[in-house]
Amino acid sequence: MSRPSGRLDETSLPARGEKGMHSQKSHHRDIVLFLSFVGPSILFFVLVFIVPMMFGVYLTLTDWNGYASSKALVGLRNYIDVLSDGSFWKSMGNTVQYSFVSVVMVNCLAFGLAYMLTSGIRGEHWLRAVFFIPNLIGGLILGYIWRFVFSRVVVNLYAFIPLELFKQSWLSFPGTAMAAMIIVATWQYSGYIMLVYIAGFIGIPQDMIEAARIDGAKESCITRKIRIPLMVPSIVVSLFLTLTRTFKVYDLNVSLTAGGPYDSTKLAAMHIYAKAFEEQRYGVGQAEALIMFVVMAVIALTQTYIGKKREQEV
Amino acid sequence: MKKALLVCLCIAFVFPAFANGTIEQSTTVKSESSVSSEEIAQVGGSPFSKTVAITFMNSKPEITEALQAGCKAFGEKYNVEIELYESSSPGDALAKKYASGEAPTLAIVDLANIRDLYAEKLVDLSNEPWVSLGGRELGALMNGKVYGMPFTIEATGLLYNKTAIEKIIGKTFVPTDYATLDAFKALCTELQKGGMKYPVVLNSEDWSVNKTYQWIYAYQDGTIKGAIQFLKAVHDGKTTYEDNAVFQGVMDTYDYLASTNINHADPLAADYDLNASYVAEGKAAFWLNGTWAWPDFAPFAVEGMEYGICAYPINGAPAVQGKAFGAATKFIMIDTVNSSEEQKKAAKIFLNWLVFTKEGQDCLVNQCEIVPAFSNVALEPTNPFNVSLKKLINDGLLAEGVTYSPSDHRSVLAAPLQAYLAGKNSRMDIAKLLDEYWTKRLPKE
Repeated sequence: MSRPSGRLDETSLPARGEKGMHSQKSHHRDIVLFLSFVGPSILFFVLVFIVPMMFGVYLTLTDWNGYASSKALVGLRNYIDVLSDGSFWKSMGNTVQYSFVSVVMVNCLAFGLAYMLTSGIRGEHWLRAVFFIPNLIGGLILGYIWRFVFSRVVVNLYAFIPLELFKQSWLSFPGTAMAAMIIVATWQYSGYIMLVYIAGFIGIPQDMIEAARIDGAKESCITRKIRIPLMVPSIVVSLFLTLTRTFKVYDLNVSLTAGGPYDSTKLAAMHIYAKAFEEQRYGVGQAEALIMFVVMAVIALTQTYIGKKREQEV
Repeated sequence: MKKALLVCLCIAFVFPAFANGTIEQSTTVKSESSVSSEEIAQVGGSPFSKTVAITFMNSKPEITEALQAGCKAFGEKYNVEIELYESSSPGDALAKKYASGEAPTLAIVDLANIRDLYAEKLVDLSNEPWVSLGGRELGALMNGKVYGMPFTIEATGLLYNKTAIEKIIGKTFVPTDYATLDAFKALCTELQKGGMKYPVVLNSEDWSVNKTYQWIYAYQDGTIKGAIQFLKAVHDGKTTYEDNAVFQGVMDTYDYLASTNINHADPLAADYDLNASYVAEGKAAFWLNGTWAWPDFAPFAVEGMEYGICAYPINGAPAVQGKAFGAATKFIMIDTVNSSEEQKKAAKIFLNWLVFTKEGQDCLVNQCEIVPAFSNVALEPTNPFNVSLKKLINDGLLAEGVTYSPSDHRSVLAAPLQAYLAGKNSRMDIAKLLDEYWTKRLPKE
């Protein structure tokens, strides 16, 4: 079947009046066609994203406690409360610190794993599955398992390896507790992000690499000059995914450290949950959630914009 | 095309079934009543002719299994299908359930939850028959009306292993002899000399550490009124924690407990189950906790060993020395928003069944192992902590519990005391923090 041409020949053109009617009909048909394809998506997008988002913004302007059927408008008072809520900003600081280090570690490890598992080593398919498995375990379960490891197993290592690091539970000190969170996040997410990088590596045209090899380029040079530039789309996606995942983490935070010791590892999502549901200050909690969303969106979109500018056409 | 049509048909049939939130339950028609007329009079209703389905949220996870058995026994008799589920955070769970229009008909909750909900969403239980049997005094009373049935009385104090203590000191352990810190220190020194290097166990969990503050409130004079008076004075700037003798006394004791804590090397790494085992097996003598700990303690309890609960030792507070503190800590509420009249009636009958029938009382005392608040329940408690609690009540050694904390008490104040336990904060820091906290808030009355 030949593809219909975008242009009509002279003989097929209708008369003037007919042309107007035809064009109107065609326009109408285009709209119906457009709506039948895009309409459901737009409808669902509005229902599950725009409406809740708008309702959330509205709640930030109320004194709702999460139960009451009436909500009094309080203007920007909740936002003023957020500005003076030192513990929220401390938890935001913790979140930025946790996200930054986790994003770097997850992506470096995932990139390395993907490179290794696309280089043709034996059992690479099996190994891909093995590295992906941690991502299948729920954050809560993962947290409880690792809690046992850092609190009970690590201290027993001291008998064999007498290092200060193993003398006490990692979850008892702010520095090591944060390190524990980052280690578990890296362990959990690396396998997932590795898949994105593997897709990127597989997508690199082999003829370019072969041509470079024929020209005498070394592997390190090929990676630097060909692989990494062509992997930029994968890197952008991976950074975006890790950043958004680590920024809004809650389950791991609750189960691994519960924000401790003494709130030093309490991340923003956990603080917001406590504010909204435990303290019954839903309006303030929602305002904090909105601020966290804006901060996360600005960081994520900025890195995506910068990354996109560096993408190479093959 | 056929497949697409089939999928559409399936969706068309299945969706309406979910439209009301639940798939319709099959109903059982009760043909004959197996309940005596005497019991019908006691519980205020006869079995339903058609099955009534209600939901029941339980925020005491340790009794879920026992409560489930009770619900089943009641349900079979009265043709009520009770779907029991648990949540350890009743406030969060109820907020979600009310937001989705699926609030449980019955819920075991905290006093703070009743305070948040009663005005719009709860059934007024003031005219229920159990109110006159202690339900009013210990129930959730809001604006003069009862909105929550008191479910259990619990006490906070030092849980002890009597056998392990007596084995070392060589005489009968009488808790009231060690009500002052000085006497308690002498006892601990004796225990240490007898080979129990660290006789005390402290928890690290924020909810548990947060309870330490409650000694400061409860020990002002042993009454809720006295505690509220003190907190209002702090709020109005008329006094400070630093100047309060009870605060200093409670903190002196806490310092001593921390220094003899079996987890002293790494106090924030304390494990709740291990803590239970230390005292149960006699490696330590005292555990700062409450009577609710029995279900976690029981698996480690050694046959033949005796356990109990006693006061938090304190110097210079004769009005409260020797007293633990306690109150009804959980309440059962009935929803009025999402529940039908029939469901509410079934819920009320269930509460009466728990209080007035032998089976119901057995469920509370023997199966759930709680201390009910009602004067008509003659069954003796079964577990050692509750036996000891009952003795404290009978001996007048139970100070009034803390029922007036604002809902953010734990989230704001627990972490600084954890830091204090780990040696990262000073007593002065805690005093200032408490001053600041209570200056901005009033106790919930």
